[in-house]
Amino acid sequence: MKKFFISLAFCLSLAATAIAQNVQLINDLGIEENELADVQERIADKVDDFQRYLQDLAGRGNMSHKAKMDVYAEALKLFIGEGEPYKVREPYYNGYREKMHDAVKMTTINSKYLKIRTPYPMTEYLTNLVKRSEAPNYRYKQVVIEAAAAVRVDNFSKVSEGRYMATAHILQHFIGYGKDGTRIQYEDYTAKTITVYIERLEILTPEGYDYQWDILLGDVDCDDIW
Amino acid sequence: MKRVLFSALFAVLFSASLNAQTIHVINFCNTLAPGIGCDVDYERTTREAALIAGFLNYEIRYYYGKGENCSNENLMTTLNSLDCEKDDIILFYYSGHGTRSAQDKSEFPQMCLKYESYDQDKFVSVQTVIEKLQAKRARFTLIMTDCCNNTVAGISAKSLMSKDGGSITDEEKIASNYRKLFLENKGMVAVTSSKKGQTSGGGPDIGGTFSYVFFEMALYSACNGTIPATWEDILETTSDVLKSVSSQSSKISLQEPYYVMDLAQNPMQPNPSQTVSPVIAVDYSFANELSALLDSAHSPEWRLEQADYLADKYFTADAKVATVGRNGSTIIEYESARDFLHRIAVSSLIQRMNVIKETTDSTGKRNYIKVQEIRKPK
Repeated sequence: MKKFFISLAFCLSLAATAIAQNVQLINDLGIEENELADVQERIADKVDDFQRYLQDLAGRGNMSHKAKMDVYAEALKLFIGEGEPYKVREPYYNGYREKMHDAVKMTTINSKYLKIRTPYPMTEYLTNLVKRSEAPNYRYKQVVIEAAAAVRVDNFSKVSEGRYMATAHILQHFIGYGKDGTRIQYEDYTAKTITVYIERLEILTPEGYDYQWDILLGDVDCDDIW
Repeated sequence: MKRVLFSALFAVLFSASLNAQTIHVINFCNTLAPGIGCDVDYERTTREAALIAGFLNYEIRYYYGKGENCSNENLMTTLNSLDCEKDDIILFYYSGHGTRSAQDKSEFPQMCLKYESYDQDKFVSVQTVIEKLQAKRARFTLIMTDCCNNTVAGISAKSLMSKDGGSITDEEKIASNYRKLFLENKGMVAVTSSKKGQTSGGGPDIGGTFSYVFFEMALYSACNGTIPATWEDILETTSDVLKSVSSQSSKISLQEPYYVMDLAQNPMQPNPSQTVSPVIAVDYSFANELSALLDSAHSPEWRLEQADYLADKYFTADAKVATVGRNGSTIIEYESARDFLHRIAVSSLIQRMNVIKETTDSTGKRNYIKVQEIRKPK
């Protein structure tokens, strides 16, 4: 009458011969394949969130200043250090050492005509977006910042035990509508690269010890504009 | 004291308006039974049902019966009260002990629910469930039971009508296969984990072996296109793998699922006016209020105010929220309830929030929930 016990290992070993796709393989990074897929998908989610927040912050008349400040706070939470200087772990002789890193930066290229690259601290970049959108003499009546292509994640590498880095690539479409709100006054596409920090953290949940994949974005670089 | 919510507030459930096609998930698991992994089965079914609903764009209603609530009374109340529309889907799932009597005519077993053998008058035959759910005339009904089906001396046959008592490109391909399985067939599939006279395997790590193979291998492979997306292929694959597992071990006996299918090809016409609740409900009042946070019809300012209100109303001060990935187990966010609510209130890219587990303290407030985000199509 009772069900009987079959070990996970036994079931998995037999299952592997039947349908290989579902077996939890451990890859070179020491991450189970299905976990890696979840982590990569979450990186893409975070980058999508960031792009959406940019549009919300740059939008004119779409929400109150207070709501924008909440979006601003959420946007900063996506980044390592939340806009403040942060510690990174780097190889040092035979081990590792922690080193303070400057606050996350956003490098921009001012326009497709002048192509001047300028790195801004993320807090300053986001604050400027809000300020410009609320300025009475803002040159655009409406701004749209949208993803022009799906986020691509690559260069997934192990930094140290439980710590990884990756790179996300995005193609952003900026559209600035003129005073009448319908005519496009300026438009460009920018290819951007975002550093991603991934850490496997042990956590204590009401269900017991588990671990969480902590995914945080780092510096955003602008590769090209056209 | 932790307490897992049982949301059998039927009056509330049925007073909720049915403004969308719905998948009704009746998930009864005897989680009191030690060592056989019914709690794993319970969570897996909740999660899988959420995925199915997400890919089909269906609203979902859960009817839970776990632990003490895995009772004859709750099951019969649920079966009798279930009200569904013609394009709805019913997923019935049971995991626990099972048995049969020598006199049983049905190939399906009796579900012991939470009871011991001395309470066998409260066992419910799977055939009863099949007949009751067939009478509901839903578009598609999937009945799954993961329990033994062997004869035990002293177990009597149950009348068929038992006593009544009172949850990208690849994504599109997967969604297409889910639609093929659930929306292009009309009728019923009933499957139990073992044939007459056989026991069923399982354990605390993977739950029922049948359920593990069905959901995580066969259904997964059909939806990813590794095997054809038909019920025949899913059930044959499940059967082949189970036979392979059991025949290669001298320690366990042969286990082959038994199933019946009553299906007609009948593709459902798309309903463009369908509205889908952005939240999968565990507790309706909580679910409805959580869904409002994701609803872009509300202003950002209102949603942010609501986030604070919900944090105070439903969560303890130190409550935590774990967000899991697509596989249902990888924790990709772990944050305070207040941070979680603020995050989802600000986000406009989340379509649905599947609450797949929650625990409360003695005051009834949630101190921990586990959720899965379904994002809007890109």
